Amino acid sequence: MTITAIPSNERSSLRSAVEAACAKIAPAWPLDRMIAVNPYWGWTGRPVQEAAAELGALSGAPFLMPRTWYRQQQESGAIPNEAIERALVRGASHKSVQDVLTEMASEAATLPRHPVISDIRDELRDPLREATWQDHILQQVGLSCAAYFDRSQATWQADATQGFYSFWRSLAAADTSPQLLLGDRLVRAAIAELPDTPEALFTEAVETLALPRAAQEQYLTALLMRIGGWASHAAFKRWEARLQGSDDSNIEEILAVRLAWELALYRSAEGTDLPTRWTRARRDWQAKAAAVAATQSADWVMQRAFESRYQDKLAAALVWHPSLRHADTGSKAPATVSAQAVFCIDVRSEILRRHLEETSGGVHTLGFAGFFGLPIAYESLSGERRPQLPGLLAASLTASDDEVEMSAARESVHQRRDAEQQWRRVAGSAPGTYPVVETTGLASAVKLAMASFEPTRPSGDPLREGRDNPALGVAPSTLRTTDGQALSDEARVNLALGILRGMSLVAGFAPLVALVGHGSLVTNNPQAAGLACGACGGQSGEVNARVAAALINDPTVRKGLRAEGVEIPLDTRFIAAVHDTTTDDVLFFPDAQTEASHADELAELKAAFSRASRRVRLERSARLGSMPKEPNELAEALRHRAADWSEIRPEWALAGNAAFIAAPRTRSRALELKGRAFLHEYDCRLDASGAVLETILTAPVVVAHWINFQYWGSTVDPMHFGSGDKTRHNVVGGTLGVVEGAGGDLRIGLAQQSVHDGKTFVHEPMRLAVYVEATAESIDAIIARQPTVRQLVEGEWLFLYRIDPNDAGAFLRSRNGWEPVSVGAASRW
Amino acid sequence: MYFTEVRPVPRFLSSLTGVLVTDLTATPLALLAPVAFAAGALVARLRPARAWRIGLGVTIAAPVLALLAFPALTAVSRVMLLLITGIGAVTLRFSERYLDGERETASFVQWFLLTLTGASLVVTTQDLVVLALGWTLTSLSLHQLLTFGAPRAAAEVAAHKKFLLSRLADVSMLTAVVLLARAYGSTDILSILDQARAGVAPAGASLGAMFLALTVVLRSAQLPFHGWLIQVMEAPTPVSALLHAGVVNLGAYVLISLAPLMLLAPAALIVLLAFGLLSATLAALTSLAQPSIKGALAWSTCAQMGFVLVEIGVGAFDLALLHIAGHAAYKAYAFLSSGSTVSNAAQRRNTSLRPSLTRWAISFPLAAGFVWMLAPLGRDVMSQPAALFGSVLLVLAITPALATAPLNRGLRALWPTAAMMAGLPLLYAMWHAMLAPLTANVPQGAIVAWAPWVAAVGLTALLATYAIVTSASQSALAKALYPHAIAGFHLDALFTRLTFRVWPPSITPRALRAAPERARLRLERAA
Repeated sequence: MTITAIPSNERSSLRSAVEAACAKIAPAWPLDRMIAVNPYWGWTGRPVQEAAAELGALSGAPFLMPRTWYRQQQESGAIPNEAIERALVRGASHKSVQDVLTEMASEAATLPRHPVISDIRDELRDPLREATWQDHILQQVGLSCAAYFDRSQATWQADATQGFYSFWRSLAAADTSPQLLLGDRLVRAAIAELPDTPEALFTEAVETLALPRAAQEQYLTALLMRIGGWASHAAFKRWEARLQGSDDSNIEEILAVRLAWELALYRSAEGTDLPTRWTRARRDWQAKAAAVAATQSADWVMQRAFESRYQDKLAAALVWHPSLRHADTGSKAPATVSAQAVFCIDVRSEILRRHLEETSGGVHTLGFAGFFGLPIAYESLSGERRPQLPGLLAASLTASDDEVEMSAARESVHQRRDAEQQWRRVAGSAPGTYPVVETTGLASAVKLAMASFEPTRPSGDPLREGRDNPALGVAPSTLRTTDGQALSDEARVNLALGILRGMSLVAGFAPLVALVGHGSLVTNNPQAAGLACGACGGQSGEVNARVAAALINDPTVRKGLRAEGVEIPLDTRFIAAVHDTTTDDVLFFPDAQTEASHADELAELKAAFSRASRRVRLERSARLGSMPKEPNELAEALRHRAADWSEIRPEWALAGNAAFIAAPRTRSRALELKGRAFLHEYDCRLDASGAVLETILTAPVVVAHWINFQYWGSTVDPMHFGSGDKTRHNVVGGTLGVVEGAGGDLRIGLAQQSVHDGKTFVHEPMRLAVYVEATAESIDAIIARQPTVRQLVEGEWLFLYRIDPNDAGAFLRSRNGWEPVSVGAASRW
Repeated sequence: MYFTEVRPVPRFLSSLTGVLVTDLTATPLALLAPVAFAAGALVARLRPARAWRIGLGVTIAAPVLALLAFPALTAVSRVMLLLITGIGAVTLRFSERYLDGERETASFVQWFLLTLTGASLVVTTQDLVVLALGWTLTSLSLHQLLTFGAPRAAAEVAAHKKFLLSRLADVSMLTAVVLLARAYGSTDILSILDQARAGVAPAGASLGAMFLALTVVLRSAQLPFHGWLIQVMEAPTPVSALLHAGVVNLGAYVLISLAPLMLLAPAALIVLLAFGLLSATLAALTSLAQPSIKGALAWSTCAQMGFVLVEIGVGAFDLALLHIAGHAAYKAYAFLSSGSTVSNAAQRRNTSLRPSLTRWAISFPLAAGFVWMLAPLGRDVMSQPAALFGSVLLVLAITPALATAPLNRGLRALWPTAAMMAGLPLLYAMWHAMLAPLTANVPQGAIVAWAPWVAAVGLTALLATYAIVTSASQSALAKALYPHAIAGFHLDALFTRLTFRVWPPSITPRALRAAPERARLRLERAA
């Protein structure tokens, strides 16, 4: 093995190619904190159409729906010709509607894909009669990754003290299957000859494969996409490490492993015509992205037409809806506001808020990110620590249960855990498992019967074990900084102030203010965290709501707030609540003082929620197949559904999400938004500096965009960015993720069952439309200041609409500035 | 506890088992359950729109029908029929919501019911030919379930491998049936068993038994014919549950119910012991290293079936019956609840119960001494081959209990250890007392004397390996074994290649389309 000296500028260009390829992979959070991510996050630096073309050329990934779908939409009237016309104008296209329709009538050409060495080797194999290299590599690297990153499933853990590349080499060197399975005698020797470190491997491979500098990044990205799921897991490890101020290079090691396969396959085929084929295959790489872009252009017009029909209509409705004027002038600020309820911006809150307002006029609702602005991690009785905030942020505070009250509970939790643990160890030992299964296996028959015929509601949050009594709260006194210090009064006041300003609630407090988090209790569902609150890191928002309520109720904090000009009346109490999105039950957690002093108000509020929940269930059940109509039966059926261990679709979660509205609730109150909109309370009159809006556009909007594109990717490209068929899911590494079936790549994103009901798509791909009620200047200033926002808006990853605070109309942000939206569609909302 | 065969059964237990053991008169009643399943399948075929209602109705009724059929069945059949109908009811019920939105669920129900028809036929019939046909029906119907739903190349390859092995097993079974029918002049199981119990071993009988053993090895996914069992998790979860809990153990049932015949063929028992021990050790190690839940479960089935064959090989038929029942319930639950892995993982992390090698080294002799003490007639243990094996099992379970006992947290923390040490022997005593009367008597000398020793040594070696690889993962042994263990010792690779060569699976173009990597290859070549 010879390592030729490589000039240092070559080496640094290789280094940056490796980094650029790794940066293309978006992180995928593990299942116990499964939050939504835009799987194309690494591509958002470029306009969406450009990224789509490049991605298609690299990996064959479709970025849009199949043409048959667009044709169906056009035939059903969901894409009218005038919308196509408008899309053409907006896209400054010279095509006519007829051109687009003619093009759409033909089938799209299969996307070409950059071949890599394993593809070229496979050209000589018959996939019907022989195993292929691609399959084998995917299985082998997939298993290696699973074994290496697993910390929970296997009793016999892999030796992860070495780097992944070294670990993989130890497996591959012992693997006889290339010879046995694929009939190749040379590869194993080539693997044994591979260099010792990833760095040396990169250099040597680039050298041997004669990769020109210009092609390195593309080639490495294409390789990484071949094992994109595990690469996403490694990208998550890197993301988390970087949030903590360190780094993690597993993603580069995975890339090195995939490249090592290429090198070994190349070397073991020397003397054949492989080098010639490889040179030929590499020749037209650059032209491919342009070819893909050309084939996709008509599809993009259709997509844009599909989106703008909904988006423009909603923009118009937010400005000119007839009932809006009425609401604005007539019934604004009714004499008494009996309670305020602050919900998560989650689209599922919209339904509950609407019905709550309709059935109880005195209850006003607001929207705010469901972690209530608390940068916390929750520490359970058993000592587990988990983040309860959006994945974009790092937790700087720790919340835990009150020490004094909990010590007895903690002790019993620990004892039970220890006993269970020892039993599991013995039952799982080899060969101890044989006598244990023999003597006690039949006990599972009882569990089988119970789960099948008498399902019980899930006991809930496994980390909240021992905390069953809802009266025992997480006290704000237990908020600690990460170095274990109690939080100072000043810091607590600032935290509370930030929360209240963020939700534009600094005056006009009702006697009761409910902070309503949300969660989802379902059974036997590996992706359950995906149904919970994404803003709380894929957990129930209970902890955050309770901490926030206790914080704002704290007399010291109240005093500090008064000094800052936020006067909360003495008889105003904040209470925490949790909305279970699967059953639409709402559970309240009032503290003892509130329960005593506000008993009547509390009872009234609970009754109001209960009235609303009945209507919510009815509205939501329309999408759930045959469900009973009688309210009590329906509630029971939904609870049963949540407890049923065989239920594959407990709820539709955020399917259908399409819009984000940052405005006072009066703006949207009259509209039936069908659970498709994220609603964030925002009053630009209270935000002269634009600081609150800047936070909204850089945090909640980005989170909503991530959710929006998680659904997009899972719908248009389930092979790369969806997790496939849920009935075949196989959980890897305890919490790392799922593979489909026996092995292969980690599957990220949502299952087919989460976007499709078996007959039709329940989620239709639609880029997020963000509606902000603010002045053009304040929004433009933020776009100029925040590169992320600019890239998303100008790259058309989302669309930004401005609602004029003085009712001067609605405007769409385009490349040419603010473009007015026509009145047309408003009345039809 | 498995100490001696002569030990009297406590009275209350014997009266309990007495209910189960009554005189057998072969009546059509025996076939109540298979007939119901078959009728269900037929009606579901005629009325696909109501397939679920029909299927759920039949599977719920089946355990009741099984009870009604009790008078016409042997005790072993009763246990197995209850097991199969129970697993069938639970699994089909699970499938209804789980497969919501899938296409062609009506045909899923049909094939599911036909699989149950075959399986229940195997455990109720008293005729060898019917048994063989039922077994084939099970295998063919299951094949349809394995490839259910959107075509997937991986699923088709796995199902194809299973198909090939099952046809091999069919040939082997047919040979066994012909040999036995010629030897005993009948295909009636009761008549064959009567003769076998009397020690009648005509020419061809032991060869027949040998083919029977081979059939079971093939059908129980024993190494190296195990690949399909691992890979059929490409099918939906409830299909895995049905296969691992209700179908793969039919082989063991056949051997247990034909025990008197098998006891006449020591060579066949040795073959079972050899294959069984290979799987019970190697597959167990592979299972330990699996990073996915279904991978671990599937490899563990292979190991557990190996262990059952070991038990049969040493003549512990009652324990083998207990094992397949316990394993079926446990594995069905484990597969169906495998989606809970994530929420359970919260409790599993953060634990470092890895006793030192010293702890292991001390615990083993302590456990052995403890079990020895429990045996009032210690010397008898050594003279009874099967009983020796039972004692070894206790040692193998009590050793890890002792090794993991928390020593530094006071007496109260030791109760789980104490409970295991007391409970496991008691449970063994109870089960043995209940089940021994149901299964065949093992006459003195029927088992080769060294057989239980081989099993004991093999399993103890497994324990030692387990202790080393889990407690000293940096040791040379662990490092050298790991790459092979995680890959199932590469035993499936050759078999797969042979399959591709000899009789390539006919992967449907749709399945190829679903596997983009392969599909693209085909398209690009065609272009």
